[in-house]
Amino acid sequence: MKYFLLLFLLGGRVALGQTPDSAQVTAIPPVPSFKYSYIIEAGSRIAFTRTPHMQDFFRQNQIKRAFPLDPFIYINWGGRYRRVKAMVESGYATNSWTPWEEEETAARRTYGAYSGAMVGYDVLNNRNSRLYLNVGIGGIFYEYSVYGRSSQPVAFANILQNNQPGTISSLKLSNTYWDINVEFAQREKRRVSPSFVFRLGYRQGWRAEAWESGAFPLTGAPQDRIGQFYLTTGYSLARNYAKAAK
Amino acid sequence: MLILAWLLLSSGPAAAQSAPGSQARLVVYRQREFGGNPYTIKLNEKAWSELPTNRYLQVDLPPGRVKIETATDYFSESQTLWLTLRAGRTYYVKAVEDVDFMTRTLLLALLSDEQGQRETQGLKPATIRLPK
Repeated sequence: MKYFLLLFLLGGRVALGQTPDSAQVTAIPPVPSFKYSYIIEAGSRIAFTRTPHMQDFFRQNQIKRAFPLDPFIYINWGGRYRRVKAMVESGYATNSWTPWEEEETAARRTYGAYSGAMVGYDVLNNRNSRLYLNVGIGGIFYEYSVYGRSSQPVAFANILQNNQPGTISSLKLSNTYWDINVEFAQREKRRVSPSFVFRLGYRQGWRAEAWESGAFPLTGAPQDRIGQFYLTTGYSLARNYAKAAK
Repeated sequence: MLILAWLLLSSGPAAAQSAPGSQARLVVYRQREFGGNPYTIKLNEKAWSELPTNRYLQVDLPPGRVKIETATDYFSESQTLWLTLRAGRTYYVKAVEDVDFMTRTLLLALLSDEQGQRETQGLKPATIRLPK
């Protein structure tokens, strides 16, 4: 058997396993072009948030505002058909920054979240990436507490009776928003394709809404339109279908 | 007159003219790419130069086998192209960056003279620069 194998190999025109001369390579492989994809994406966002009237109120009353950069974690899902992408998105603000402790009164964000949808078109694309221009709509929600601090000791047994001046237990604002952002995403290369996604955008409330309180009905509160610049860094996983050479 | 001036001033490899009689001419080029990284090109195991986008490298070599290779770093994979050069001929090798999740590579392919000449029109010569 081994002699037969040896004779077989000797009789061959080229040694088995030897790669053909790469000078025969006469073209760059075509760009993978999948017709449509299902996409899920998760990541983090840093947002610079403006609520001008409430910020004025804090400033006038020497209330130190919480750090204006809000970190979010988010999850998006949706799909792409050729050059159009549509996604549903939702995010939740995390408390990554150490709260201000040295001020007499300080406002802390106790809740922040958004949910919405966006649709985009890849205005530029090449072998490796797609640059989308996205527009979206949704709702954004914020809640703050204002802490009035005192050095006066309070017995735990009396804590419910304690009414610290300068304390606001709940200030809530919800806005419906419009959003515009530029998204840079790696191009899908395989049937199941992971990629990095970066997004730079701005969103703003459609109209000013009055601040409310979760603790009591609030009247005569200032109205604000949330304005938010944000930078998103995410990781997406796409399931791609209907491959066609470009 | 304007056309003549444009022809004189337009860049692109001198390889459109024939290679020196006893030598072969090798042109490795990259077209404009969105956000492309520069790569180090090696010839016969020796670093030749960095090749950014929208640039070409050109060298005259003695006939024979030549190994063209892209150097690697942590995030890039190596690509190798073997050519058998013949005297008096010009070889156009097109290089295109291919990026995938966490990896990237510079694809290399030998193209026809016509396509090579056409695609190198307007490209600028790369400054010969070795990696740091």
